[in-house]
Amino acid sequence: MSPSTQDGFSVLALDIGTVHTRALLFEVVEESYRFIASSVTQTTLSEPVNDIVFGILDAIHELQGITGHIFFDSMNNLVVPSQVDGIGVDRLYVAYSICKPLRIATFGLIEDVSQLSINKLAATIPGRIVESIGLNDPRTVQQQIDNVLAAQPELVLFAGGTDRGATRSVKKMANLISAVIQLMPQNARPPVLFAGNRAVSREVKEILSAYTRVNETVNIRPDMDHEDVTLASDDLARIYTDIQIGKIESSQQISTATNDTPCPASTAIGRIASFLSKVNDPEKGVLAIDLGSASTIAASAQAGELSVNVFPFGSGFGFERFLRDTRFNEISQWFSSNIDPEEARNQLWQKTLFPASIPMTFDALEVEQAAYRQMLRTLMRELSARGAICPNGYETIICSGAALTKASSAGQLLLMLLDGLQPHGISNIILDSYSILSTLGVISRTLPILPIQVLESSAFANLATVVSVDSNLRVGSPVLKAVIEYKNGKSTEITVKQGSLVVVPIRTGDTAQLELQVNRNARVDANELDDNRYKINGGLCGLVIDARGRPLRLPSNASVRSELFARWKATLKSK
Amino acid sequence: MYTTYTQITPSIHLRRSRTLPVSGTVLVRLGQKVAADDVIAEATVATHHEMVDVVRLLGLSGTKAAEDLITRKSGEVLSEHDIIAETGGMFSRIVRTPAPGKIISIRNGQVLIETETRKIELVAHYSGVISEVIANRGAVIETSGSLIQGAWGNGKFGEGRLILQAENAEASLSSTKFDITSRGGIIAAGTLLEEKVFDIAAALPINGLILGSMPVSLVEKALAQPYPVLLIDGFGKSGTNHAAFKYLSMYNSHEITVNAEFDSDASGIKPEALISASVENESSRDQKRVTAGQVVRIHTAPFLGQMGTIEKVLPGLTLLPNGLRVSAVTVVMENNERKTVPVDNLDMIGFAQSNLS
Repeated sequence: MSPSTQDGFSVLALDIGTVHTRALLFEVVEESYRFIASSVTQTTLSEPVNDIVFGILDAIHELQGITGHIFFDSMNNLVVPSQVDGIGVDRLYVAYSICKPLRIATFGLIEDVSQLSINKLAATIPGRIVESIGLNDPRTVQQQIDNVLAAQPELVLFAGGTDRGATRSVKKMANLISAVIQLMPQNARPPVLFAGNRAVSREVKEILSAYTRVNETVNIRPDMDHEDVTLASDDLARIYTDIQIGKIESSQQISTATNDTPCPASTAIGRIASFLSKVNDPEKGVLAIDLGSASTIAASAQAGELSVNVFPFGSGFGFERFLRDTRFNEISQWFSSNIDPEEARNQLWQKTLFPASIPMTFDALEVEQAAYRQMLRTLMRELSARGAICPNGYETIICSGAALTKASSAGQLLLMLLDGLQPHGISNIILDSYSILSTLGVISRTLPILPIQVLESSAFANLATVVSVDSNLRVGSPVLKAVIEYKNGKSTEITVKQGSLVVVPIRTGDTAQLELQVNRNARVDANELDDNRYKINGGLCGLVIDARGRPLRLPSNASVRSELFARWKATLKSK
Repeated sequence: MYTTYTQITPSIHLRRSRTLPVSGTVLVRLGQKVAADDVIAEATVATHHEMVDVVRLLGLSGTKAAEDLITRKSGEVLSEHDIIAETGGMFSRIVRTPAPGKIISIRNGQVLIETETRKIELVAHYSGVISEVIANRGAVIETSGSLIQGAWGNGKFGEGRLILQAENAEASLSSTKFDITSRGGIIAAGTLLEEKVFDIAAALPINGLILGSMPVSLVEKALAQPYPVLLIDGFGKSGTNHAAFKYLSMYNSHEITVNAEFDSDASGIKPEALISASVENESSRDQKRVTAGQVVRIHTAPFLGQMGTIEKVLPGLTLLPNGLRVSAVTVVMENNERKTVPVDNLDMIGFAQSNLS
């Protein structure tokens, strides 16, 4: 039972990524949970240390140095829960994104029903679907068996049959799965998660449990018209954790001390996105993006309905996958004319050999950020293809991950995000500069008050409120008039032209009223502007009106493009 | 702070684990001497299966009827045309195996047969002594010599005489450098800029190529070569770092083994070249944290491949010229210039440690 926040717990949360390990401290301050401080160290799973615990202890020691809060006893053991003398911490939580993507084989019945749904469930964890089989698979049974064996899946996800639906087909598919699994070496047999017709789950278990561990969860397709992977994704997260944490020596030391099962960052971030979407405008969405080293998480939610997708590309260990799947000219279109494309290619591919490396010059940073822009474009395109984009746009976009939160200036960061995400409507772009998001998600299950209160605090930075204008008008034509009324009573009026980027400074902590008069041939968002007035919260870049068009079309001429980039950078005071 | 290390060292005791991806048979014993191209373990993996549905083929009403008619047992080996099931009587309906193979299982009236297999052979890749046998999987080979680890490889393996075809660390390998004496050798140079050099090398043929760096535009060509290609510093045109060049010069004409296996994830498998030699004075600094005095190589532009010594670990975060704030050190370069370099952009060099891969 949670105490009142007046008593409160001291909470230590760890976020273990592929490159960095973070330790975060949360405590009650003035009757409310607050984020106190964080530390960052290198993750030490691989060389030269090869032991994850070293990096974790380093991070906690560093946090101890920053805060003065003593976490360790005289024997250098982490103290959980805290003692009467104040040493230690009351609760410990772990979110992680450290592991290689899991090889997943999915089995369903009908391609655009259960097979589609089980693939959506698979996408909620860092994994790679190495085989997907349905009843109508054109391959022979023999080929299916051979192909699944060759793919060496580490996890099998199986769905099929609505709750009053197919049973024979489900059992037939279960027999196929058992035929494959029994051919695998005993110590390499993947566990199975069954997310189909509950009426036949006992029989499925009987067929499969002779060969491997079988888990059950809710039917993700209880009837033809309904799909819900949210509950099943929590069960999947637990199985995923069992598999992945089990591979890491010494991880048991930490996981046995935590107050909840260590949670994949994707699941944790999804919880926060879902929660925020319930408290925000139900017509609009919340999008949380974490561009990590090995993978990228996108959690899109509207009125509590959540879609989590994990993509196998990232800014470090996932960079090679991105480069392999991306045409170079999609990246180079974002270069200024002074960038040598061949040198840029060498630089980008060198990063695949040394994924944690950091660009040291302006040009190198520009090249890397060009890649991140395209990474975000790819992300949005994939989300759209999966039907995971909120149709009415996103009221809140939260960005997490060093690639999306660290830049030489706020303007530089905002420009990269706008170029990459190209949002519609009116969006508040929030930075998770301290990488708190995933830890709030893992804490939320057992201490829900903490993330609620921390989200209301200033732990997250408002980067900008962005008004995106769509129109087919000629460049230079007026698309809207904006009147901004400040708290001190002063107001300013701006005419925004097609093709432009306009910044109105409104400081963090300040608010203003925005009134928009949109040209009848342009649109911001019909639903949004029932009364044409909108409250704007200040931020690092204030209010930004982006009338460059959607989708952003870049000039084919490199010099013209370069001049345009220079203008945009100047507008946002980005280097 | 920790940093990664790359071994470029004249003398090291090495332990390398070589294992099959599946369970198999180990062909060597403890203490046995092996050559780099010896097969030390082998395994058989199934590559094709057939599922014979007796219920359907015999038009039966259920699985029980099928199981009563199946005349084989799990584990039996079948020859071509062997009968699996038959109804019996004068007008017997017969189900035969579609191909020779081994019965894996019989269930629900279906017979699963393994019909094709493939043999996997595990080659030692290192000359040395077997110091440990890993039951059913492989062995650990102990050896010693001068080791040069790289940043990228094309996955191939080769051995031969080292032929250094570069006057300096930055020299580019051109087609004119090849002649009859290059045949069977492991050619080393600073960099390579022309695609046709690969073709000329393959035609000779050579047994391997060691470069400091190479433009990434040539990667597909390198991957297609039958001999190992190892890049010491990575992608670019800057040549090789001076420590590696020094040892390549020192051991020119010696026998060298190149294992260009490479894994780009965090597993730590690096391509490497080993020159067999006895170890005299092995330094074994077991230093993993970044400290002043360490010799380092920078693996990122604009100082790609350059070496230096850490002068000072800078406190907190350092502001780079491009505006990023990072953990950094000052490095005294080989030309005595001082540079501020992010910790993540360098690795330790010459960190000699007996290790297991």
